[in-house]
Amino acid sequence: MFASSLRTGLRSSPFLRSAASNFSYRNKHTLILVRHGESTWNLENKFTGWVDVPLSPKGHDEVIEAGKLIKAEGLEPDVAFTSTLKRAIRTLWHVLEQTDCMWIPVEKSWTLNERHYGALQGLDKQQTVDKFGKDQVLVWRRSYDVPPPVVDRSSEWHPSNEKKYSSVSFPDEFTESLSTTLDRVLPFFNDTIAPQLKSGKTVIVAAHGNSLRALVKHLDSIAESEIAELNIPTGTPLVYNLDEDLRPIKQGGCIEPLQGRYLGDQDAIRARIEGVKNQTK
Amino acid sequence: MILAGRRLGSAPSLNRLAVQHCSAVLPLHYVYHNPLPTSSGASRPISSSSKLFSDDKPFTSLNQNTPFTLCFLRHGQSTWNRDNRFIGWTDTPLTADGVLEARVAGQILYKSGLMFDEAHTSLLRRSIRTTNLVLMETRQEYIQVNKSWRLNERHYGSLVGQNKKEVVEQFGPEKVKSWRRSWDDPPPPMESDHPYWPGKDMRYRNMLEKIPLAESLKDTRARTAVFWDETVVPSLKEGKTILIVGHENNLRSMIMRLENIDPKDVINLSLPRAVPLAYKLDADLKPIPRPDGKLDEATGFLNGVWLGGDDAVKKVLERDHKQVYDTSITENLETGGKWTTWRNWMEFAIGETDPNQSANSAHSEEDDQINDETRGKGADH
Repeated sequence: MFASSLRTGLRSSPFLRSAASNFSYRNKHTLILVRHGESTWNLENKFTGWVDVPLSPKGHDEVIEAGKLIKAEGLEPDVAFTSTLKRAIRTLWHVLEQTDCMWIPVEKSWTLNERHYGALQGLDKQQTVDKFGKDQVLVWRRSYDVPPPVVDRSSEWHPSNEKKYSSVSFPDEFTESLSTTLDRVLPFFNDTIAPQLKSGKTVIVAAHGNSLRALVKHLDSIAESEIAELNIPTGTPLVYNLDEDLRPIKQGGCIEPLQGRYLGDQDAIRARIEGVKNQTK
Repeated sequence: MILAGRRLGSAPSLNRLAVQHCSAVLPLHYVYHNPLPTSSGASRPISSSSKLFSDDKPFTSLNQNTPFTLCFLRHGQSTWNRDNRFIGWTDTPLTADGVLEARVAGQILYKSGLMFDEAHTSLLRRSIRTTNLVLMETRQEYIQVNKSWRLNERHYGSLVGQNKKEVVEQFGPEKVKSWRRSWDDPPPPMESDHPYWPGKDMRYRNMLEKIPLAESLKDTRARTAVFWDETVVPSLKEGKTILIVGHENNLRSMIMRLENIDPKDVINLSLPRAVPLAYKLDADLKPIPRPDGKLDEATGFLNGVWLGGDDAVKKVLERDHKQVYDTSITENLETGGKWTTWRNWMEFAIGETDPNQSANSAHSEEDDQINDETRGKGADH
C-alpha cells in the first residue's frame, strides 16, 4: 500500500507526513483505546476498583506489545488521556515510548478511573462468592446499575482518605455501578476528549475495563443489558475511526457489538474475550 | 435516607445516584432479591455539562510535610551523556545507568517527604522518562505533567553530535568553556541539512520558525523566562509545589534568574545530573536563604538545598569537568572504575542494583505499599 511503504520515510518529513495522513485518514478521527495490562491483583483475583495496584511483570510486557502493535499500524497519537491509577498511567507510558510519542500532552483524570467497587475492594473474588453466593456476586459484577455495598469515610478505600482526590467532593457513602461510572466518564469524554477528536487529533485513552465499557457503550450505542457482559481484553489496542460527528465508521474485522477494531492476533483476542466470562464460575 | 454532608449538584442524574445509595445501604438480603435490570435498549441521554462531584474545593497543596515549594532536577544519563557528545535538542534515550540515576533521585525525594502538585518537563525523552521514573518512586504518578519546548536543552548549534573532548582538543578549553557556560557566546549555528536538525521531527512541526539555529545562555533564558512568567509563577502563587525536570543549561538559565546570578559569574555554574535541588521561596517567589545563611558548597552560588548533600554534588561536578576538559585522561569517566563512588551511593539509596536491569523496564521490583507512613516526614531544613 502506498502509505505503508512510505511509512518510515514519512516520519522524518512533516510535509509528507501530513499529506499522507490526508490521503489515508481524510474525514476520519482516530481514537485508540487501551485497557491497562494485567495487574498484581488480577493475578490474585481480588476486586480492585480504585485501589492503586501496579502492573504485574506480564502486564508490563502486554502493554509494551500493545505499543508495538500501534506503531506497526502506523498510528501516531497526538494527545493522550488516562486515569489517576498507576496501572493505566504506566500502560500509557509504555505505549508512548513504543510509538515514539513520549512528548505528546497527557491529561490524567479520575473520571477515567476503574469503577469503584465499594466495600468489595480488596476482597478475594472466590471468597466473596463463597460468602455471598454466586448470583449475588454476579449481580454486583455484571448488572448495569446495581452497585456493590458502599464504603463510608472510615474506610481506607473511601476516596476522601486519599490525598490525590482531595480537590473533589465525594458523598459520605460511596460505591459505583457501571451506570454511575458512565455518568462520570461521558461528561469528560464530551467536554474534553471529543473536542480534540473533532479538531483532527489522534487520541489515545489508556484506561480500565469499566471506564472503557462506558466509552464504547456510548460510541457504539450498546444496550445496557449487553454492555455489562462485554469483555475488553487487557493490553489490546482498540481502534475507532470516527466521522465528523464522532460516530464510528464501521471497519472490517470488528468483533460485534463493537465497531472499533482490535489490533493483534484476532483468534487469540476472541479466545480471551470468551475466557474472562469464566472468572467467577 | 441519609444525605447529610453530601454536596448536591444540579444534574437530574444525581437523584438517581441518591436512589442507588439508598438501595445499597439497605440490608444485604434486600439487594439480593433485586432482579437484574431488563434491557431497555436506548442509551440514556447524558447532559454534557453534568458534574456529579464538585471539583471546586479550594486548593490545598499535597505538600504538607516540607517547606520546599520548588524543585529542579536534571535528567539521568542518556546515551550521548555516556558518550560525551554535545546533545542539545537531539532526543537521546536514557541508558540503564540513567534509569538508575533517575530512580535514585526519586528515592531521595520520597524519603525527603516532598510531594508535588504538578511537574513540568521538556519535549525530550530523557527528561520525560526521568520524570516518569521519579514519579514512580515517589508514588505520585497521578500528578499532571506538562511538557514544553521552552524547557528543552539549550540548542548547541553545529556542535551537536560532536565529542566534547575532541572539540576541546580542536578549539582549546577556554573557547569550549565559553561556548558551554558563558552568558552570550553561542556555538556556531546548525545548518538545516545537519543530520540532527530538529525541523525533521514531528513534534516541532507547528513551530518550525521558532527552532533556534544555536543558542547562548542568554537566548535560552529568553525562552525560559516566558515559561517561568506564564506557567511557573501562577502555579507557585496558587500555592502549588512544583517539580521542574530539565536540562543543564536550560536549568542554569532559570536558576540564574531566580538567584540573580551575574552574567559574568554564571560561567562557573554547572549542575549535576539527577540530584534534586529544592527551594523555599518567600511571598515574592525569591529564594529563602539556607539555615546556615551560606550558599551551597558544591557550586558556591545557590540558596537552594541539594537533597543528597553538597559533598556528593561536588564530586560529580569535578568528574563532569574532567570528562570534558582534561585531555590527559583518555578513559570515559561516565563508565568504569572511577564511577564506584556514585554507584555506592546509588546502592545505598535503593539497594543492590540488578546487573540485568533492563533500561526498557520502568517498574520497580518491590512494589508498592500504599502507605503514607513509609514516606519521609520532611527534611530538617
